[in-house]
Amino acid sequence: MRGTIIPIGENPDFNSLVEGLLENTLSASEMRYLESLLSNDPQALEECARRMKLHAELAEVCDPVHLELRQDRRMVIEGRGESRRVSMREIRTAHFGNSRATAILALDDTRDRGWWSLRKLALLVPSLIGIVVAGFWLRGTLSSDPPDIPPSGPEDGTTVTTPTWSRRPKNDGEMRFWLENMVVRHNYSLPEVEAATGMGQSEILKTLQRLGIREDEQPVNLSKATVSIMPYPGGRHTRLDGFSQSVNPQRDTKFSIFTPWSPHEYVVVDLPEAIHTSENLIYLAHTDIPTRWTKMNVHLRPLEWKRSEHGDLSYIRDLPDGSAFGVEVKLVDQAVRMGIWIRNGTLIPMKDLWGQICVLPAPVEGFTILEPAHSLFERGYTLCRNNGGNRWIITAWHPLQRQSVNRTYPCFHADAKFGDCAPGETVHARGWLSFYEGDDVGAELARIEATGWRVGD
Amino acid sequence: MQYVEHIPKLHSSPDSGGLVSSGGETRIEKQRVELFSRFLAANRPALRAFLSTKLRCREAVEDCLQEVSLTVWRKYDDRWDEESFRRFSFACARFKALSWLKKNKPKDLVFLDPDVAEKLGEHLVQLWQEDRKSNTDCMGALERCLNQLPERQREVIMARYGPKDCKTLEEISQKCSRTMDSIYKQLERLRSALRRCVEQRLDKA
Repeated sequence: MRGTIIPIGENPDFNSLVEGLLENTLSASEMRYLESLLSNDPQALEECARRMKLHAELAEVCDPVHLELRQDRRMVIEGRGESRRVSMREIRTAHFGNSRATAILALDDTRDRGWWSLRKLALLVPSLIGIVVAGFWLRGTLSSDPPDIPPSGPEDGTTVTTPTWSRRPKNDGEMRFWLENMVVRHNYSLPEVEAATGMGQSEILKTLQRLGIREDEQPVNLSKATVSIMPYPGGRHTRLDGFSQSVNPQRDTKFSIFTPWSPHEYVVVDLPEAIHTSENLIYLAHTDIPTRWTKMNVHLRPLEWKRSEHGDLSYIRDLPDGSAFGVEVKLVDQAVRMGIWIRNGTLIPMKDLWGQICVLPAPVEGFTILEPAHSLFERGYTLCRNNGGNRWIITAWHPLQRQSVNRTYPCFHADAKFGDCAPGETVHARGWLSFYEGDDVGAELARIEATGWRVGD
Repeated sequence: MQYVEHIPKLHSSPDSGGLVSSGGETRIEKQRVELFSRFLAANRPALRAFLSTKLRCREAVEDCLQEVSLTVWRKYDDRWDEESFRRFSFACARFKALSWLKKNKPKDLVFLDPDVAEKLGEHLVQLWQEDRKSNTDCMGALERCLNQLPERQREVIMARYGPKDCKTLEEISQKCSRTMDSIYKQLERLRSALRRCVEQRLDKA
């Protein structure tokens, strides 16, 4: 239409030029033409700037910034005799970036604390050296990272090397707890204790002797018909198959439930094995799939269950974006009640959150292979029975995301659904696991339902 | 392998295992870090756009953006307000871009005339300042608009702007048996649609 002025924002030629600028596809002549428009037409400049602004905002929204700061301190002692110089050197490390680029800064900021007298040093140096040595020891212990290689060995699970992610108990109290847990409750062999603790076999034997722990000791106060819960010590793979889908299983989220059928038979619950959002995997209890954090080279610190005096278990895991999740497990009337909460500490809504909760029954006789005919999904419960057909393990989560059974791992799932979680909000789910021996599983489900576990105690 | 030691957060849990705090105390001054991260988050999109006016290659923009973040963190002073932060970071971005060009001397790329790029960059910064002054939440509106897109359209946007584990535009073109030209056309239409959506949302607000 002759004489009609097309607004610059609706001019297809101009739009193509700006798109070419954004996508880096302009030829030299096109670039010169765009330059002339931008130099002479304020509207063109405004329009181009607005398009570039949206372009940059899209990049920020789709791949947000990741910011990490690390700080450590180092003590430096210089000189000798009565005049020694003590400096506290502060090292700051900053990581900036997103999934496409990360940069690391190590900034040394030496803060001179002045000349100190020998008398002060005599008191302070041993304690400071102690702290430094303890720090190095602790760091070595805590940073025994899961190796990035899958466990070697055949896939049939007969001679698979256990994961090498070991944790040495920190003190005698912890040592006693873990060794009893491994040797007395879980019936660990010496190599398994070695894998779980990182201690040499002779040291393990000496420590067992020193602490008076005997392999053939019977679990205290446990009759045959008592269900009990304990943190799972790691060092022994929880699956019999599918190891490449569970590389370096971490013990952080795993606990054992000892059955009423034998004090040494237990199922391991991975609570949770994974947490998913619509966009990301924000937690994984093994290392074969990258999570949102490992993609940014951020590795979560190992965590242990907190044990209450009544034997309840819990932990809280902070995530690097300010979000967190927590887990509680307690034994009520021979059944295990579980709870998970997830708090969105970010400024962005989390969509379609769900938790993958894995039950691994391999150490229980009759549950080493879960035949399809032995599994039931009934009224939101996942039920698996033994080969004999009269023993059942029953689990459920509310709200429920999905149910599944893997025949050969073996494992079964009732996964928790959390839905959407707005910034600052916390979402919850409750879970159940119990054992049943008998023929009327329908009546048992009715009994379980009547306990009101879905709404809490 | 790095463990997270301190990250500015909305909440924290004293017993949690996500943070390592040697000696039981978080030694980075929380307020300082929070202010810095707030300023950085607020200015990063503008810095990115500003760098895009000077550098044509996406990787170069990302590299310079990271270097700017690091330099600003290194020089960051507790007494800075956002305006000081902005002034310093944009000056720094200008130098980083120039130094990248000097170092890499890209021959196969076509650049805007430096004066025009400067003018465009200044105008961009002005647009963001107007948004900041009027408290306009463009990014929030954009995010909501993005969430409204059908999955396949969102996939195209994420291929162009999302994390590196997303599908690339080339993969999408192969999967859908479409030419790259048509993918770029779709991208252009999507950007226009998102812009209209953001404007409508902000008008309503």
